[in-house]
Amino acid sequence: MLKSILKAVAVAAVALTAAPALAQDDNRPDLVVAVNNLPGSLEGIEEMGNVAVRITYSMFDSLIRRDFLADGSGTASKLVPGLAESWTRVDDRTLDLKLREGVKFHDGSELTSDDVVFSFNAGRGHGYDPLIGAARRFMLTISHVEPLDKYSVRVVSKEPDVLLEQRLAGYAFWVVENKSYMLKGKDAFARSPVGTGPYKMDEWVEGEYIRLASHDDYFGGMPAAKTVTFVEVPEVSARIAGLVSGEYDISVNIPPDQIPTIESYDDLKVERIVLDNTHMLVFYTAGPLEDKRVRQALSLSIDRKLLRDALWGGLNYTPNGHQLPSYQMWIEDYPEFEYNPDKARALLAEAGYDGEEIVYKFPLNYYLLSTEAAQAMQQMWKSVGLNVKLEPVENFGQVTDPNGTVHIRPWSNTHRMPDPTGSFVPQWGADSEVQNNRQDADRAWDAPAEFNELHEVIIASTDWDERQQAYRGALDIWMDEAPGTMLYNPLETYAMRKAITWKPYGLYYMDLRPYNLQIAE
Amino acid sequence: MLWFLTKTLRAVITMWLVVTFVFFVLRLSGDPTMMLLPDDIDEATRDFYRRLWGLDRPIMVQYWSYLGALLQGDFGISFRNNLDAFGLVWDRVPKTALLTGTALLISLAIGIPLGIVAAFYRDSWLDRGVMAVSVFGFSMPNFFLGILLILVFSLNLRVLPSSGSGTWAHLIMPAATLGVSFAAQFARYTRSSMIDVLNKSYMRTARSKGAGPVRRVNLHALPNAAIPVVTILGFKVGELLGGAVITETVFAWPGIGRLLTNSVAARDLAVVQCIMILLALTMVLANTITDLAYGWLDPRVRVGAKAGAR
Repeated sequence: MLKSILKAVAVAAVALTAAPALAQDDNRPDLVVAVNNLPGSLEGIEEMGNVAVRITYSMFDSLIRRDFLADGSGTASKLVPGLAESWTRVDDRTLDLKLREGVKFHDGSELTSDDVVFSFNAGRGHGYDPLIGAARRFMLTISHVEPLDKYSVRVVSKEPDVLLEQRLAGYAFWVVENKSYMLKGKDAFARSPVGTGPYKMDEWVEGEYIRLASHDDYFGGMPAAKTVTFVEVPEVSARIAGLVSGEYDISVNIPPDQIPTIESYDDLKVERIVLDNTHMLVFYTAGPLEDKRVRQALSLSIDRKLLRDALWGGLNYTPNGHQLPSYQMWIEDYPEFEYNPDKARALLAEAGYDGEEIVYKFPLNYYLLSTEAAQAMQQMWKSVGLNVKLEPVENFGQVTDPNGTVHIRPWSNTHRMPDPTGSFVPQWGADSEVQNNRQDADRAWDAPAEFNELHEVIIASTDWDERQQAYRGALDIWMDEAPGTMLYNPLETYAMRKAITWKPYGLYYMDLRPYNLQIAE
Repeated sequence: MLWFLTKTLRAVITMWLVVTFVFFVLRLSGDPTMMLLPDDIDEATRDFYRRLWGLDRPIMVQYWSYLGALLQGDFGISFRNNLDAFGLVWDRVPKTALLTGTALLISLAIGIPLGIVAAFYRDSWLDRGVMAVSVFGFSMPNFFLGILLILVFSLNLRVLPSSGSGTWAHLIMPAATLGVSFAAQFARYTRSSMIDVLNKSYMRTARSKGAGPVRRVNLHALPNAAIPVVTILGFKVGELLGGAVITETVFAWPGIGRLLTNSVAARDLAVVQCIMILLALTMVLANTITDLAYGWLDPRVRVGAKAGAR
């Protein structure tokens, strides 16, 4: 009896001394991130907008990882091992990947080829009638994935695909834990997902916050923060005030004109990134814009540098053609978008434009600073004789309403892969909505046959030189036909405490892996 | 009984009209797939979600199926997060009730005494001062006042949290923001209604009986002056909820108002409808309570109703 009491006392004593010791061991900080909005789902491929990927990117890993920081820029496109430690090409359509051994999911189970096969199966994201529709456009080229052994998988494309590795490192190819997904079902998994990433679900209070906890067994090392809480703060002034008062450690979506305010505080700094996204204009090729010379004049009369300087503090840039420097096929010597009001006037005279009203319809509060840009452009257009009427509306449905009049609309193209097939082809090619406007056939762009033939080469060819030549040709036609134009790539600004070392990426991912997040005491 | 039936029938018709109006306005003014999916998504994906959410059916079919489900108590599923719309809304009710309730208390606690004082010292510097302040409070838009408070108390003094709802300290600024303009309004209503009453002959009678000023105000003036103020109160409930929409967004207060803003912007119909029904119900309820309070405050109304019923 006495023995057992003594034993109990001893156990209690050990427990009492051990508990604080454990707690003291973990003196990592809790990180609070103020975000404009929270997603409705954390099922990685169900919601892939800005507000979702900034959270899910640290919950899931991909087989191959795009190293955005390879050159320090945050927009690099070097491929490095992720959950796969190595991969080999079998042929044009086939890639074999060797998984890391001993990778732990958030629930403690080990990553095997079963999880990869399940994650990329047709019925989940890209078959004929999949469970989730949003990822189809990213996964559609995949035929199937088969397990070779416990730690090896084979990914097979439907057609020859030189970009298969890039695809696997891009949107939607995030690996989920198969058993918990099947047991919970999609909707429950979306509230409490299980991945391999550095942070796992802790608590989600709808409309208030999502708190993630460190996944201490993360294969990439111990995460820097004990917890990361994404707090919903829709109002930008409240996001800034909370940062100053110490409630938040990082605030996202800071407009460029607030940068000096943030920098005026000793303990705060901003991290900026020019996004892999381009603000565009679409010129509907009917009505007053039927003559391509009028469309060319619209583009020629926009002083993009002035817009960038005035609205974005000169901190962003306009790509040279529909491409980015991070593309493997980047055509460095491709000409810039020209600003030439005289040429615009000459073209309008040639086309016999008689001042017919052109309607520019745009949704308010959709693209940052788009209203200001529209007002400035209206004056630029006016100065060359273009009579553009601005019509702000509430949403995109009203912009494209087939019963309304619209000749120009704003748009943005995200470069989801560092290749034309990640943006130019799907947004402007033969299958694009621009060429197949189903709401109003008159508004569809009737692209020259050659343009679509060149796109076919970009899609199907496995010869990089041939692809690049076709790309240049397609860009030339696009510039000449001017079914639209590019304005600039917007700037995204994050404000944070100086003690935090963290770099943003050109896509909206917030990468909180140990190599990109350090917090000084 | 008849009174109750008429009231209920009127409430049901009101709510049906609200639901129908909101349904068509939201449906015809924006496509949810445009709001919830990225701007550069392909048509095939858009079609997938149109089918999934039943938006590919003719609008009347959608309307009848929505109404049918509603009659069975099914408010539908949010497009945004696949959660039950009613549950989503109901979870937010306590927060909005706390915010608007506190704001209402603040506004009454400030507005009524100020109104009484102003009326009692009519045309004095005190009266003019109170009324000047009340014009200021009334005409200040609450998004502006909210941001001003954040600047002063969070940014400069660093004494109050700027947003969220975790502690009592979080309640102070949003409740004050929402309460101030109503306090100003209540001060004005109370003043004019008190001035009316103070000039009545029964006040002179009370005075001649030798009743002191406190007794005169509390027992004779206030109950009579309260009737117009109570009437206004019923109407103000709607305005209060409207003000909550803006205040909740400014202070990231997780209530109905912010849910409504997000849901309207996303055209998340099931959630918007659920909120509208709840708001309509609140308004009907507030008006009914006002009616009842009349009877309690003013015996003439009670007697009149009885006489009418007879």
